[in-house]
Amino acid sequence: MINLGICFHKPHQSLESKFRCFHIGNPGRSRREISAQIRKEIPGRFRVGRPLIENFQALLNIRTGKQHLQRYSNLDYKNCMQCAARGYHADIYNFSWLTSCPIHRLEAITTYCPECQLPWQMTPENQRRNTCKICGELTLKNLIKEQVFHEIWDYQLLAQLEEIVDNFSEPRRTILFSGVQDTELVELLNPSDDQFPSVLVTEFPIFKQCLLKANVTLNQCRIERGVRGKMVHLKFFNKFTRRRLDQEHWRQDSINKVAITILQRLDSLHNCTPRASKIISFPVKNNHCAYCIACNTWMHFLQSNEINRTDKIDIAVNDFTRFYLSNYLYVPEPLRCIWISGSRYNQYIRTNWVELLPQNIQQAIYELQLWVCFINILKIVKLALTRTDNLTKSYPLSIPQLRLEPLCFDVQIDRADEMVVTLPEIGYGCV
Amino acid sequence: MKTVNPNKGSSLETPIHPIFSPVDFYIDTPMIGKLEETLTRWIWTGQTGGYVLGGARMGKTRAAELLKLNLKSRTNEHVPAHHVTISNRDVKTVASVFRRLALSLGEELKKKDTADDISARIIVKLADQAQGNQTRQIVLLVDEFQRLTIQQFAAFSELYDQLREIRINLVTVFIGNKNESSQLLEQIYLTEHEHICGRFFINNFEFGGISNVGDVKYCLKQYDSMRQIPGNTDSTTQYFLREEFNSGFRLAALAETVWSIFNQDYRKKLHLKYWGTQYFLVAINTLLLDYLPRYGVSDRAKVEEMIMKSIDTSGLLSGLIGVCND
Repeated sequence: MINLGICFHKPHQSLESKFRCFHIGNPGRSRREISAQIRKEIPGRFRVGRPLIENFQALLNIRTGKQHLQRYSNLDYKNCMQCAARGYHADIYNFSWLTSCPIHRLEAITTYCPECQLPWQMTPENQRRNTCKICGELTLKNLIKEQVFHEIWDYQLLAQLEEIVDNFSEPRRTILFSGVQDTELVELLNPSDDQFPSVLVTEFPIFKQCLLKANVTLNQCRIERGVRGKMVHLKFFNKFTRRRLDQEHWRQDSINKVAITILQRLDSLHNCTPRASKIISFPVKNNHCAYCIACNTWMHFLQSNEINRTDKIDIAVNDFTRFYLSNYLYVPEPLRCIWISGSRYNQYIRTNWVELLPQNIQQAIYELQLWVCFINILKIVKLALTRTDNLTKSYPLSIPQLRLEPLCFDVQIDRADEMVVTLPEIGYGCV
Repeated sequence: MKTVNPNKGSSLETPIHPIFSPVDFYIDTPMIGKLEETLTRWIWTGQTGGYVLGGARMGKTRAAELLKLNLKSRTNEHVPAHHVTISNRDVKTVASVFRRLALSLGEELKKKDTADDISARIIVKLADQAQGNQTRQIVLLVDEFQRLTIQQFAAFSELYDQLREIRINLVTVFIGNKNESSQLLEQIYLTEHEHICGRFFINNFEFGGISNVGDVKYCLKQYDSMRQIPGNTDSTTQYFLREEFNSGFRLAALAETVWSIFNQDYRKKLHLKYWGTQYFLVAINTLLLDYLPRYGVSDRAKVEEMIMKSIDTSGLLSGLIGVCND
């Protein structure tokens, strides 16, 4: 049985760091041997072609009975030199606003190793090749020699920062919707933004002390309160970039193609007023039909850009639906969040040259994503309609079944011009 | 034409009694309790290890196998214990000890694996297991330690030292045959091997077999009360002597007779200190399976004769001859 290296685990440790410890615990084993060992233990969950860290994560979850998550991995990997030399890294180190280590206070958190000036080595193979004593391969012998296990670390500040980030990255507050007294609509702060601490401290000064202690730079920030109630105006945020979707010349063709299918399906499913199958108008015929509303919303979302997507939409039970759509819906873009398991195209995915995929494949994947997007909208609208009777009750924000993650497709491609995918069944009719 | 075994189906439906499989059948003996108490004391007082000596066929290995599941820390948490049996090899090196340990821990080894790599993997494996209790303790039960050379103890010293460095408390318990290990122990007690002696050979426990009528009664009571087959409420005595058991017969009632026969005819004559647990079990099993069901339990004289025959059948005498010849 392969070792997990749990004895090296420390509080608040990131999955990447646990993966590094895993390799300390299995010296002399090749990548192939490790994969084979993991595969033996999780035959059902093991995926060929999936990054080794993910298979390790599955094994770790099974053996420990806990969920070990890979968080903020979309951000640039950053670490502190002292922590790296001991095989440690915490998820929140990756935030750009955290520049000094909350454990080794004066040590800078950087995107490269200060010793060898190279970016932090993420794969065990690279670590093995690198002879740097900070970011290279760690061995049990070296850790013992450095008396790493005798050190006592103070995680208090790190724990406080992580708690702040967790509280504001997960919507945990109860929100009441417009039309009801004391309505409050809070836009969630994005902890991965550079100005997250500044906006947070302006809204909640109680956190100032903690953030200053962590040497976080705080800027002046203004909060505007508008007609929608209390709302944090994210002045510094530059996350609403124009979508690259518009640049694709075949984008509208795909939308039209899927729209025709949706309308045909709609006509066969629902029993409200029959519609003309013209895509351009895409009218809502029945304000109580989930499918009709979903069609309209879907088209609206695809044709507007992100910044005004939530403003112009006018549908039944709009606040509730709007909230979920704006917070949980992933609107597809070509060439984003796709995973192809066909051997021919794996090289493109791995090297981030997704654009090299033939256009017909790109288009087909995009169409699939459009379909799933529609199904997700339909789910949300259907749920919203079931809740319209009593708007005065409050809604818990985290509904697990409505967490709509970015769409990841596992598409099997045997030939460049052929692709077989089974779509989920659509069981929604009229409400 | 296909032949059908009529017994095949029934044997699958009703599992056989474990008494027929010497490896599976066990009863709790007073000595196991004493050993558990001693090991618990060593764990609780933070001892680095100790050694357990006993004669052949006393049940040391069986006791170790049972105890490895039941050890508790002061915080009443399970302390993981690992049982490894040392094999006799032509080449006796430290690396071979590591390889033996690694294999018994479930490691898959390759020829290219170095002793350093193997030792690191063993350390991490033991350390990972020790994370299950707050006191971070783990027990290593090394059986047949008389097969080790003095140089090979360096492997256990290294494990202890390295685990200590990563804040894990390893308790190493060496279990061995009393007569065979005397020479090795003499070497260990020499001043040049003080580092081994100080770590592992300060504490000791003598593992014996059955030594009095109380022990016999304790063991026979297990036959009357312990359920051996999952899903079946019958005790072992009830299973093989159903009618007699239902009319009030208990094997424990024969305790004094069994002891007096052993004491008079074997123990005193042969100058035995203990009745080896394995010999005792074979004797009682023979009595229970072969003699009592056939000749009944009512005639006292017959029962005494049956007990004598059972003890003879157990191999106690031939075993002693073997020891003398050695």
